[in-house]
Amino acid sequence: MTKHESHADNQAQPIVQFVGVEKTYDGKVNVVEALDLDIEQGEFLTFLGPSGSGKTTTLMMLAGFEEPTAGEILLNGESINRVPPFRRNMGVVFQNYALFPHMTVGENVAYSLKQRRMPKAEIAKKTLEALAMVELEAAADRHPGQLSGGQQQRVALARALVFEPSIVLMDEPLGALDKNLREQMQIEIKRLHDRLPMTFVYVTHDQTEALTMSDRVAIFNDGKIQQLDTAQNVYEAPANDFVANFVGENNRIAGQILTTDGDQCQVQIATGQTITAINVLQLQPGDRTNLSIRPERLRVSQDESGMISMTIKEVIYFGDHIRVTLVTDSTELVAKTPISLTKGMNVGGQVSVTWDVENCRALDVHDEMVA
Amino acid sequence: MTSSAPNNLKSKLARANRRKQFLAASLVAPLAVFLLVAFFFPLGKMLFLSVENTDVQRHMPQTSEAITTWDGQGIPDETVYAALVDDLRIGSENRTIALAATSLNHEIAGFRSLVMSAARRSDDLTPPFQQSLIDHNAKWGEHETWVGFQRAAAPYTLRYLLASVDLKRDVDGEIQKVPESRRVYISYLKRTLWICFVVTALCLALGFPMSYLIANASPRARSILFILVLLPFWTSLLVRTTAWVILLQSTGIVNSMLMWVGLTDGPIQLIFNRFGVYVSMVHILLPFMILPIYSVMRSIPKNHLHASASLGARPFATFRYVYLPRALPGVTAGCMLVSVLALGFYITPALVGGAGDQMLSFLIAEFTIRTANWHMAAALALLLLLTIIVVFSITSRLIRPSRGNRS
Repeated sequence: MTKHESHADNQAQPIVQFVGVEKTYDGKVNVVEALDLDIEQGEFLTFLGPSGSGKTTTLMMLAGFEEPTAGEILLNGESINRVPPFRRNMGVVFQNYALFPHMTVGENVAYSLKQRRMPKAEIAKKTLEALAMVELEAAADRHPGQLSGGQQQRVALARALVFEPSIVLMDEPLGALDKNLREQMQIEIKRLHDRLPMTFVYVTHDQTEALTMSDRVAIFNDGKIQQLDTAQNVYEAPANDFVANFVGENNRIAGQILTTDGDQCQVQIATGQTITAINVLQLQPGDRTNLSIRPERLRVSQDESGMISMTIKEVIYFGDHIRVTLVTDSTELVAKTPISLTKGMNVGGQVSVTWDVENCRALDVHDEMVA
Repeated sequence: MTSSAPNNLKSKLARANRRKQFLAASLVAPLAVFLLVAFFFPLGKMLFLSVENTDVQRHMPQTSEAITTWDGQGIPDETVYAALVDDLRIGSENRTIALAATSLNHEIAGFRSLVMSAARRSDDLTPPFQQSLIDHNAKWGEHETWVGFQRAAAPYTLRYLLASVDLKRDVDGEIQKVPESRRVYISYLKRTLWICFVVTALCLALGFPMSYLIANASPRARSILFILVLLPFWTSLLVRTTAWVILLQSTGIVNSMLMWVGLTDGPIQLIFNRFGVYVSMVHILLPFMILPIYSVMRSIPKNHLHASASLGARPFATFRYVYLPRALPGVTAGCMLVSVLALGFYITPALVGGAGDQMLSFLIAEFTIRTANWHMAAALALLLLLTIIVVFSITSRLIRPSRGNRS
C-alpha cells in the first residue's frame, strides 16, 4: 500500500509493517515463515499461540533483539532492520519482568529518562507520575526483590511506559502471576491502553487473556499467522481447524463434503447423517473436513426434535451454566446450557441436539489435536 | 485447657531440636577435631613463637630469677651479679651459654661477645662479683646493659614483632625505627603488596574479557575454552613455573622467536626478574579470577540486557549500569582469591625471580630453614597473616557486592 492510496482510503498508515519477514536459527527450520502483518496506530494487538509458534520471536524482532533472516520490518513506513534496539524507542515488558535488582524501583523507572539525559527535576517528576499511574509511589525507594510479583509487574509496566514510547511490547507479562492477580492486571493493562495514545503489542499463550484485552488477535502456529481478526471474529468465526480448537472450547465433528452450494455445503458425518455447514474454506466435494460448533451454540432438547440423538455421559454444574457431555457411538459433543433448560437431564438419559446453520463451520483437518 | 499443653509442646520442640543439633554437631565433629589438631593448634603455637622468649630464662635461670626484683634504677645489687656468675659457670660447663648469649644479642648488639668473654673468665672471678665483673668489662656497670638484660629475661617480648616492621625499642623502652641501613622487612612487605596488586590487576584485565567470552560462547566453544582454562589449573604449580623458565630463558623459545623475527639482536632478560615473576604468577592465578567471574556472569539474565537496550541505553551504558553491577560479586571474589593467594607466593618468585623479586614468604622460609630463627619467622608469618586479613577486608569493602539480588 502506497502513501497515496492510504490517504485515499482515509486510513492512517500502519505504525508497523512486517513485509515477508522470515526467521531461522539453524538454517533448516523457519521459526517465522513469510510473515506479512500490519499493526495499526493505537491498537491493542495480541499474538496468541502455543509455545514455539513464533509469536515471541516476532515480538523480539520488532523490539530489535533478533534480526530477521529475510524480509523487512517498517516503522512508520521506514525500515528498522538496521536500527539497534536502543534507538527504536519501544517500551518492552518482559516475561519475569527483568527489573534491575541492584537498583531501587525509582531508579528502575528513571533509567530510560537518565539515558535520554533529561533534566533531573523532570526525571523525578515523570518517575513519580509513572509510579502513581501503577499506584506504587510509596515503593520508589525499595528494591524490586522486596516487592510481590504483581507489584514487580506494575513496576515493569511503569518502566516501559515512562518514556512515552509509541509502541509498547509485552512478552507474556502476566505468565508468572496467579489467576486472580492476572485477571486484575489484565484489566489494569487494558485501562492503561485506553488512557494512553500508544500501540500495544501483547504476546500470550492464554486465550482468555487474548480475547478479553485485545482489539485484534493474531493467532500464531508453526511460524505462520493462522488468523488475524477481532477477538470476537476469532472466536465466533474461526478461519481454520487450528484456530477453532486453540481459541475457546470447540466441538469437532469429522466428516466429508458431499455437495457445495454457494457459501454452504453438505457434510456427511460418522453417524451417517448429513449436516449443512458454512463452507469457510471453499472446500470441494470429497474433501475431508472437521465441523466446528461452539458448545454454547448447541441446543439440547429432551425430545427427538433435534438433529442428532445422543446419550448424556456427564453433567457438570458450573453455577451459571451446566456443561453436558453427550455421546453417540462415533461422536462426543459438549454443550453449555443455561440451568433453566436442564431440569430432568440425568446421566444416561436420551436427548437430541440441534444448532443454527451459521454456527456450524466446515473447516480443514488439522492433524495435531490442540488441547 | 491448662497452660501445661503449650509448655509440653515447647519442650517437645526443644527436644526434637536438640536431637537434630546433636546429629548435626556429630557430623561435623571429625572435621572440627581435625582442624583443631592439624590446623589451629599448630598455627597458634607457631605464631606464639613470635612473642615467646625463653632462651635466656632457660639457660640463665638464676640471673633471670634475680633480676625480676631489680627496680630498674642504676645498676642491680650484688645478688644479681652473683647469680650471673653462677649461670655463666654452669652455662660454660654445659656449653649452653652461647644460646642465651645469642638471644641476648638480639636485644642489645654486642651482648654476645660480652657474655661469652665473661663466661670464659667466669672461673677467675672472685666476690664481690659486682666489682670483679665491672673490672673485667666496664659494660657490666652500665645501666643500659641491665635494662637490656631484664627485657631479654622476660618470658614474652615484642622484639621480633617490632623487628618485622623495622622497629626496635631503645634503652628507655621507646619504640624507634632501626637505622636506615638495617631496614629490610618493610621494603619486603611493600614489594609483596605491590606484586600482589599488579598480579591481581593483570589477572582482572585478562580474566574479565575471558570470562565474558566463555559465559557467552556456544556450549561447544565453552567446553573447549574451559579446558584451556582448567588444563593449566590441574597441572602442578612447580611444573608450570619451570615451564616458564624453559620458555623465557635467554635460549628459550620466546627469545629465539624474537631474534628470528628480528625484533632484537641479542636475548632479552625475560626471566629471573620481575617480568618473569609477573608472567608466571598471572598464569598460575588466572583460573582463580576467571572461574568466579564466569559463574556470576552466567547468572546474569539476558533479558536484563535487552531491557536496558529497550529503555534506550547504548551498549556501553548497558555494560556500565546493568552488566557490571551484576558481575561485581564475581569480580570481588576473583580479586580476593587472587590477591590472597598472591600474597603468600613463595615457590614461583623463588624460581623465576631475581634477588630483588622475593616476597615475604621467602624471608619466612629463610628464617625457618637457613638461620633457624623461628621467632623471627613467626613474627613475619604473623605480619603476612595480618596483611592478608587487611587486604581481604579492604577488597571486600572496596567492591561491595550489589544488594537485593533476590528477584
